[in-house]
Amino acid sequence: MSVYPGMTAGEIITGVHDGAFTVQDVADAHMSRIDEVDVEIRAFATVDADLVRTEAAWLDAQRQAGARLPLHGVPVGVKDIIDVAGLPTIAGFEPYRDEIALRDAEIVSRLRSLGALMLGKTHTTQFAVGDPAPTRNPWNVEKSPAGSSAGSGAAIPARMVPVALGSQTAGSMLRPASFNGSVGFKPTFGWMSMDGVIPLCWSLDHLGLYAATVNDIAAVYSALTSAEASEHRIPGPPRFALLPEYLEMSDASVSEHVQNVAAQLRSVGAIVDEINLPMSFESIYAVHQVIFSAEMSAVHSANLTCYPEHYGQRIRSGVEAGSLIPANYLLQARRLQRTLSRQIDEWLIGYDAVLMPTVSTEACDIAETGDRRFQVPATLLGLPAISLPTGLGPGGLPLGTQVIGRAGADTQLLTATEWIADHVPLIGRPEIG
Amino acid sequence: MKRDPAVSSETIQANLMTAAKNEYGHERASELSDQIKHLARMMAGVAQMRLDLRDAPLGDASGQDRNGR
Repeated sequence: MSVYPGMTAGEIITGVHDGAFTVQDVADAHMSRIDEVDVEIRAFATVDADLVRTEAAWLDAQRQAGARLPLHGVPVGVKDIIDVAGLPTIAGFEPYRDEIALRDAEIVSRLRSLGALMLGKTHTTQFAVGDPAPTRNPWNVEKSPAGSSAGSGAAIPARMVPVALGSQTAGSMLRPASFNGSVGFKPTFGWMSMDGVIPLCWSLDHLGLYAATVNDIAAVYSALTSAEASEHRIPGPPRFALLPEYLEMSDASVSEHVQNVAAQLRSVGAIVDEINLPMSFESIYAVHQVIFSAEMSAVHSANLTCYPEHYGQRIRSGVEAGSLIPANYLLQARRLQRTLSRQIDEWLIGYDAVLMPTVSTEACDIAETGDRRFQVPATLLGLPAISLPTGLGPGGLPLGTQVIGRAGADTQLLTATEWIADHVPLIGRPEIG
Repeated sequence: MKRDPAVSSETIQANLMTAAKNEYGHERASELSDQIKHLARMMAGVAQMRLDLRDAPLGDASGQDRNGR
């Protein structure tokens, strides 16, 4: 077996364990791919080839000494708000261009200990908010890769890495997954420490994983958390809730697509109930927006005062408007976040997962990052959610089906999603380069 | 600005605009008007939802907890 860009993480781990190729071979193949296609896609903000080769040589030495690490040699793209020792954490903010991280973020440190290879930093919208990143959509470079985890979401279908890290505070993991046609997984709130990650909103920030397949997502998540998906096998065909409220808010082609996915699942035995959440979209969105605006403002107000000329227009406006929110509104919203979370936990007991579109549209124009409304419920309520690339829209761009599980039941959600992926074909990747 | 379920988003918006003019000046407040309009609608939504006295907020994701502090 030889190395080629586009291999899954599972194939790389097997190849390294079996001695079919070295981690150095893996590193060289993926850095060559980045050289080949990233001039156009612009997924990566920083790749330090010397650092990558040094790390690869150390991992090869480990293998030669007999080690077979769970993620041995898997290249990972890291969103550029997450610290990787020796590389700058720029976060789309020019004053941070030379700010070299002295140590790894917690998630990076854990991935390294499992044998993963940090290949480089991927572009983000500035501080993970709404001013677009320079990244292009691999399916059509005139279209948006979404945000904020634009580079990580695009690097997977462009075959630059098999795994990438992102974050989500509104819709920044799942929307790039939908627009770029990757699998995106945002686990339950608090699954991983945010230590070493530039925060946006402490009550809403999540880290997440991108890959090309659900199996790769499950393998990395299981390695990181020592959880086995097989511990939570569903005894029979799963039961899903399909949300009419969100279908009605979608473009017709998106709504039709997700209903077709539901029909395919019904045809193989799943129970799919058309039923709405126990709270309205408006109430979820109002609570989210008040917390998001106020906490973002608390994080950034002082820095904005120091560097006003370096802040993007959208984040600057958001920070300034958020500074006007009185404390009692923020605290009311934070209390409501808990109340709504308890309500959804009780309601979800009857279902293996919720099905809905990941985004209301296919990829939008490059000047925007897309509609974040449909990703907000899982963020506000801290629920694990996955976007699966289940089809192409009328513009030839990917469409995502969002699968949401119960808080803390991440492995059950992965199991239910693997079942879906066994019965609904996922789209391939675009031909570029 | 009190949180009052009976207050309309228009009233909240007017209060926010006044605060914005005081904080950032007339010109910048005007540039923020779309943001403020959106925020006022969201704040009105929050004000209208009821809670029990005992309902408390959730924790955070900073990873900085040490012995609960």
